[in-house]
Amino acid sequence: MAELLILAFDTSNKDPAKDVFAYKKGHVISIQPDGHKWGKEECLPKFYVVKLPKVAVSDVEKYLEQKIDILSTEEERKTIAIRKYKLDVANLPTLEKSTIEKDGVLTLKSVDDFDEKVISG
Amino acid sequence: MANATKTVKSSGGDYTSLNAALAGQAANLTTNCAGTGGAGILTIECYSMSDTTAANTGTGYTTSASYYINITVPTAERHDGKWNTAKYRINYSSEGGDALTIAANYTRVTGIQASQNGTYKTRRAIRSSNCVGVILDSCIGRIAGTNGAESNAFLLSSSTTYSYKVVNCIAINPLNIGFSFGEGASPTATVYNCTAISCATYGFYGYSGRALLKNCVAHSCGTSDFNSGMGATGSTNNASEDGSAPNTNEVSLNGIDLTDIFVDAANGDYHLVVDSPLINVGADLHSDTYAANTSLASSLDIDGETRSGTWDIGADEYVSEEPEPEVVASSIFRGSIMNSFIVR
Repeated sequence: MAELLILAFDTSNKDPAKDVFAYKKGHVISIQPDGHKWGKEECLPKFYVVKLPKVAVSDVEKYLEQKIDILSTEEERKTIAIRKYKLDVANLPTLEKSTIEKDGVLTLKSVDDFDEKVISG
Repeated sequence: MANATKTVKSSGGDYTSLNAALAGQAANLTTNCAGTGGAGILTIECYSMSDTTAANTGTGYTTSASYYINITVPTAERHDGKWNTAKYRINYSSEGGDALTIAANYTRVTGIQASQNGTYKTRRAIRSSNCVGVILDSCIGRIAGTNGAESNAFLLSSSTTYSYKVVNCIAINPLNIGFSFGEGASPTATVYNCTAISCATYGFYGYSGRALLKNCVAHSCGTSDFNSGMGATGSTNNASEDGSAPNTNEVSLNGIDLTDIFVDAANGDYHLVVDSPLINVGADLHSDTYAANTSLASSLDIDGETRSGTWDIGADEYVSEEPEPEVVASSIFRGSIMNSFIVR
């Protein structure tokens, strides 16, 4: 029920303080319902698509969240990075890694299956 | 120059969200725009759709005054000077966060509608921090949803030198501030022909002397239409209900109902009515230094109509809808056929 558009390359800023607000490989860029017809450039080499046919969009929306300083108050919610999570593409199981890097598309069965492949952004 | 154009469409385009276009094209535009191998302007055209993903340029771009991100909505796909659910719009409904974030210098945004529809008290429709040369032109920023007591339709802030131009824009924000400007050099922001009505606190808010305001209007705001002292030297021809409009040539709207000024303010239509007190009381800014590279330099208002004569205050220029001349053709036979045309 959900498809995730994930960046397949690093963008960067030479200022380390600003680089945390540059999108990186593995960041979720957009989430759409199953069957979404992605744009002409929403594929390799710029993007991967992860399909989660049994997962609701609302269950994965958290992967679009920015990283908040845990020391800031609830009222402040100081943003310290453009994303809180990213898909750890480099450490995917061998078959999944080769599939996503070759085909640009990976289908997973459950949100838990996706959760365990995600690390702090 | 290697300019490039990418499209955002619900189907058939290069991208299906503005955010994907911004992430997918992030690069050094002064050396390699959109993979062309040359410096260029990256134009991202957004077509009619509801874009539900928050858009963020990120900081992965290198830009300059000549090579920059140009986010635009083609005229046929653009709002008509009021919130339009048939045209391109960012409709972001996450609890918090900002609908459109600009973190790349010199970014130009024209014709965008952005709405943050969440529930958290601090969120923004359009936000930019620590940038120089950013231009917001003919945009509508809206805070909807609930709470939002610290949410601004437009928030342009920094603690250091930065610069913004905001022209022909409308803030719709019943929950807090319409346009909010932070610290920096004076003026940090030039704000021309913008409209902020019925904001819960301020229509326009900023640090002392930081915003150069011309032809702006605020009315019925909870705390003050303009906060005291925010206007930079040179601010002129602004209008307020409560006498807070900065500097010279203030237009007083005291005692004048919104219904006598705008077509349907209650529903966010800030086009001017025929006898609006904002008509013909603004300054002509088409040759103003800070209007360069904006629609004001071409004497256009928020919906692309031409400003003429003495300009109006606010995002809309009143243009009378004169009826088409009635042409009556009659044939009179007096030995020969004579056609006469009467134009009424």
